[in-house]
Amino acid sequence: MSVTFPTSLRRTAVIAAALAALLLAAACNGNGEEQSAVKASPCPTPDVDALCTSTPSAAAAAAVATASPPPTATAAATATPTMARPMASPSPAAMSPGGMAAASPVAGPVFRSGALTISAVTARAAPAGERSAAYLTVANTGSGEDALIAAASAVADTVEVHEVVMEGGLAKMQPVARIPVPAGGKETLRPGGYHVMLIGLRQELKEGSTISLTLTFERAGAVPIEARVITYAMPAGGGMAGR
Amino acid sequence: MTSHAQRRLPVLLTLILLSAGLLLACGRSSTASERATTPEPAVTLRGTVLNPPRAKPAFTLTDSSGRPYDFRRETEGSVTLLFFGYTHCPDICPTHMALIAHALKGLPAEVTSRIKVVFVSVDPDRDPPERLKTWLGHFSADFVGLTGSQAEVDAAQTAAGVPLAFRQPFPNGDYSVAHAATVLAYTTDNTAHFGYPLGTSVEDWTHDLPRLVQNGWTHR
Repeated sequence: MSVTFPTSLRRTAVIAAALAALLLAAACNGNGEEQSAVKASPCPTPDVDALCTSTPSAAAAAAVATASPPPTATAAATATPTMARPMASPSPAAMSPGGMAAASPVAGPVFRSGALTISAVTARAAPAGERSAAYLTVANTGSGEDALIAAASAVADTVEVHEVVMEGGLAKMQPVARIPVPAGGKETLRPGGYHVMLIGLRQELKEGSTISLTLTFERAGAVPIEARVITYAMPAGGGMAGR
Repeated sequence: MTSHAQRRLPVLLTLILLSAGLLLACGRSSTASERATTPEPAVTLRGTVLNPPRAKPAFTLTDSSGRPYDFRRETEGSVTLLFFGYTHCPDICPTHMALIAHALKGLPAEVTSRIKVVFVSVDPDRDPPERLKTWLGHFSADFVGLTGSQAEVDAAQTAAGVPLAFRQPFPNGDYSVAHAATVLAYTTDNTAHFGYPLGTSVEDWTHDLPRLVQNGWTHR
């Protein structure tokens, strides 16, 4: 059963096979990279009626997770899952108060009360009579959980703590009774997640000004803080909660 | 025996190389079949893939100057970011608009001149054209604000394939509006291959907008 092709023919066959293999590999490789990129953020449930983001979507989280950090952010902050799931209890190492201040373009004064540190407090600029929202980060260095249970301010008729939830592809706002801040952890109020809602502004919130707020916590009690007013500008982290 | 083995060597090599080639081809064949069902063209973008892609809707609403605005016609040939929101929205709407505006400010004119941002109010009772103009002006004078009757804006949402917004009353008689939170990005093929959900950052927009403009999607 030995092969008796002339040597030249055998060489040709080898070369042809090698070329074919190379060509196939090259042809497939040309599109392979693109394909994997698409697969990185698939529509989890191809649903004709609702946007594919209508379900709590890994793709949405992935979009945040892949976001570049602000210029001064640390590599640790980029890698942390808290960027994608800010509502989850973040690890203390992920965003230390100093790290947050460094990473956030809206870092400002830091307010401390007992075991709590409140930083990156901002409110969105808005005319009198309108609504605004305030955002902030609370870190808890204590050994027990605390929780934000209320907020008040003289600048608005009504102040409520709200959260945005996704339901059937729609973003809904609803009051929230308590926002837990775990022992040794932190919680960030940011667009698309929690916010302090200022309803019926009694005065214009002007960019560059500051407004006084009082947060009430279960354990720490009332904590007076100041929010810097920013014009429709970047919330802490430069993005929204991906929910 | 030696000569026999020598004669077989090229045959073995041939078989190995052929096998390698076939393996590579087979390994990619599943990718090829997937490609047929995923939106094309596939490019590296951070937006969420819309599967199936969305055809650009046809509707005519009233712009912030009070003039009729034929969405399909006015946005023909431009990458178009379409969002349904309302000006009393305290959180998501201003954040999306602010982040898009911020990203656009950092992009070159040859990119931004080919992008249109259209904001459709889902709360037309409280969003007359002049109010839309003022509110959008906080972000960019170039953003297009559209409003109409409730029936008209509902029809526009249906045409775009987003879930219908609805009112959520507050105890004091005020209300907020639950609304779709994703920005639809139509490319010049009049199709949205990608949506930008809650969580899209300035960096995501800065990354994707030039690619949406330059990726070679054409009229089909």
